[in-house]
Amino acid sequence: MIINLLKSFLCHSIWIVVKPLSKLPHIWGVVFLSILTGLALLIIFKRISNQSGIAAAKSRISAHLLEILLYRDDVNRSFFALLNLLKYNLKYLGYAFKPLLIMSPVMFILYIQLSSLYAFRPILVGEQIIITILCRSSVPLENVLLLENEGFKIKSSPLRMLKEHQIQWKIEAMREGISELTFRWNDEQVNKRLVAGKSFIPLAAQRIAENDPKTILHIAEPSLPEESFLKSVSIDYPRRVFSLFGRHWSWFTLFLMITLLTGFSFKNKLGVNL
Amino acid sequence: MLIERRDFFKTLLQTLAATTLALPKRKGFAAPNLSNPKIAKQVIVLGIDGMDPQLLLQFVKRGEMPTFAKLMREGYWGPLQTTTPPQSPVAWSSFISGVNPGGHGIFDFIHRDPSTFAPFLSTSRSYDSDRVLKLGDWQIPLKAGRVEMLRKGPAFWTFLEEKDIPATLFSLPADFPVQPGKAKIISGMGTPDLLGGYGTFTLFTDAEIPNADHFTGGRIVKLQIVDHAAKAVLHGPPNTMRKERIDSAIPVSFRRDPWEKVVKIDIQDHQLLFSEGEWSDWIPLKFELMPLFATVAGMVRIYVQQVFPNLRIYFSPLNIDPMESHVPISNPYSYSQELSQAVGRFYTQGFPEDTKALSNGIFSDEEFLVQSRYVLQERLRLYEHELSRFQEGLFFFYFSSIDQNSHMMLRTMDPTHSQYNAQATREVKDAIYFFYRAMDDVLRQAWDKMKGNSTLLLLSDHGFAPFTREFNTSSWLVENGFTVLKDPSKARESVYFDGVDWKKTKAFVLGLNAVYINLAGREVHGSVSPAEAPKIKQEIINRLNLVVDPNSGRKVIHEAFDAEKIYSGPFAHLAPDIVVGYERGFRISDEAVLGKFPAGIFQHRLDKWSADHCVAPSLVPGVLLTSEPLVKKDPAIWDLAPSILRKFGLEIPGEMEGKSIFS
Repeated sequence: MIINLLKSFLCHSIWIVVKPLSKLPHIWGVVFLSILTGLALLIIFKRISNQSGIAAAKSRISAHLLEILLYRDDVNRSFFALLNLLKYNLKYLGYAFKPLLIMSPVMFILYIQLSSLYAFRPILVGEQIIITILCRSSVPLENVLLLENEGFKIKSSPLRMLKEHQIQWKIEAMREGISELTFRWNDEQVNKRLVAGKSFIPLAAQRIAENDPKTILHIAEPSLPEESFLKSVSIDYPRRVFSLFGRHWSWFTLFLMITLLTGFSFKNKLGVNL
Repeated sequence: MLIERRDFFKTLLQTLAATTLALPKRKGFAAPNLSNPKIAKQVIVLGIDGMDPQLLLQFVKRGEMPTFAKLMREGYWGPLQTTTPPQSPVAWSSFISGVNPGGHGIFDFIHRDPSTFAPFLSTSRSYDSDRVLKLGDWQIPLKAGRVEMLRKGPAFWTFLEEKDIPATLFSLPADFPVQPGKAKIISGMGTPDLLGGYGTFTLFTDAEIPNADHFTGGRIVKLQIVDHAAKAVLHGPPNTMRKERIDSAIPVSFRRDPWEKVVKIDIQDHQLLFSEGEWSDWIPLKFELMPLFATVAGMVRIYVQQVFPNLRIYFSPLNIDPMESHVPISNPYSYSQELSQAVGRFYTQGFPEDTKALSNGIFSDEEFLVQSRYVLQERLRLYEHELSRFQEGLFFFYFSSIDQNSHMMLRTMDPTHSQYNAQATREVKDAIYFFYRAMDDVLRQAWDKMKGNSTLLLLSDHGFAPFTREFNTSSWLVENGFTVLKDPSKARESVYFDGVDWKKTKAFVLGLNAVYINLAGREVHGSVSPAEAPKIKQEIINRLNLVVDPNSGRKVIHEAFDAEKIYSGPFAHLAPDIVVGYERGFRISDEAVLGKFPAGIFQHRLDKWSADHCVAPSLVPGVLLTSEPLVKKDPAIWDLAPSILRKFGLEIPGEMEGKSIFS
């Protein structure tokens, strides 16, 4: 229950930010959010890090580097400069550790939120994908059914992997919009949302049981009830790729590059020691 | 020696002047105006490999090929003289250059290097990088390897390029590697698969496949299935970055349902699920040559032939990926990518139909037809896309379907053929008709596209004849004392001439129609002096012309040609000495083509590749169909390049021997 509330909050909060950008090409959304994140992280870093300590450590590193260069004929001096270089590098990492520790959960949450929007795209009408379900070990796979509806057509018989308790089907999207994949075993029924067409909405590639911590990675749909006969349902949505400079990029590579670039570009203007 | 700057410029100017003077004189350098009513605005050329004039007429008479019937009435149609020999690379090279084979240097599918005796595919040859950095087991090329086009002389569209006349040529035969220029080109026949050959399929199976060790153009990978799962490796091209050149490979795993006929295949990032009888679309793959450093892109289509009782998963020959080709299959490079993005990935290997799968008994007739129809559908998508974008200039589009299907399926419609099966389904019996009928639709679309001063040409490079009797030309030469074996009792063990006593051998067979005199000074093992060569050649010709099949009493050779009498031009010296023009029904056996000596001289053709055109050229003319009447009688395939140039108001270059067929 709490996990579903948290997922819903995370999903809606990012959607409020991104929705105004949804009419633009998606790459602009990634660029905008990356710049925003870069600036925000820079400001947070400035606030929570020991700026004077970082500045001092960086100065000492530069000084000992220079020392090594100037006294390279003096083995004794070079050795101690090298030790100092190591010491202040460790000190510098120590200063960076605390802000990183604080910012990591923020980044993780942001990663989950943006993944729901930019990691995958909905399938197109006519496109075929694979659906995978993971059943509880007590469930006999022969009796599990996927029910067809007007949103999709089942294109293959079920492929059952007995040891892994997995079943896979190939399906084809028949119309645009959201439809429900319904799995049935005896009287129990489990649904998973299938999105088709060109719409831009948060997607959950998996729906996972709520007692599995991995469920937090898929915020666009509530978790499966703990007592469900399924442990997870996965849709093999196609990955979204962004074309830039003649190459294809995943959203995360693009996001990391632009965030870092923004951080280094604005560090002097914002007076931040990195 | 140092050179003075003044001397350098003097030499440079002299070189430039000499080069300019040496250029062939071409008349009419003013750019033609395509809006001039006397000059063609559009010339559309449809290349239909293997379309036979007799079959075409037979199908038109059925009344279901209305566009052909209409054009036959309103324009011109008739047989088109083909080259000697009537092989596709030879004939299409003559189409491209407007000359006989002596002018372009392509005489057979297979040539040999006389200095090393190494065989190679006649239209192109690839060379590894000659500068490599060796690091342990690795060898890193410091310079790219290269692929050389062996067709000589200028192609006719280069004259259009000079005048800025737009040209688009799709799946152009005998034009690999594609040369840089202004024309948009995708190479066709002659383009290899990723392994460098004409197409090698892979069958993954736990079943016993008879004669699997003797397959050509295919390989069998034996699966060990445990709990309905199996793992294997798909072999790719040899890794040129490893010293021992082991094959690159990709792991592949198979999983089948215990009860239903469905299979899951995992290969690289692809997770695929197929029912029995299903074909996949193109699956792009990357073969790693050096981790993080070098890969080769390819693509494959998968067919789940059987799930129970044995698993049989067919992987098509690995094709060069048009999205990421590592060799020149497209000009500009982006053209193949542009087409792939617009209509999807497409077959890039020169012969896209999986004939080897049918020949080796892996495919049934019905399965072969499904794959052939897929090729056609893909081609039609590309054709419609490109034709809709075509505005002016030259548009050439090539179809392989009739040729490849005639080779394999002509037997199904000919009750006199030794492999005719009266019990075959209607679909199989009508296979050839289906592909001819599809060409009517192709022709109609081209006809509808024509506007203003436009010309439409449809041509085939040769016709077809049944192939029911194999003639072991190599063994015949042994029997007649022209080829001598070291140990005749081991004749059948000979692989690529290794049992030949070259000191005593006067002539040998290499290729589908070629016989070479073992000429001293030319061949690496030459033993015949130039003085005695003409006599030996004439003797072979005379005896070949008398060969009779004891089975039927029929003559086997329609005519054996003396190459000196039929070829002219700067590359005539590369030709074989004799070109054998077989009678309808006969052809050289597959084994005899590449230096083997089968027992006996004749055998029945049992392979489903049971129709052919490597006979005498007069027996298998091509087809010519044009939207307007001709002025030239007996048009030949080498007349078409000059005719197209004339249509655009250009003078016929001196190096072309063909004449314009139009007024």
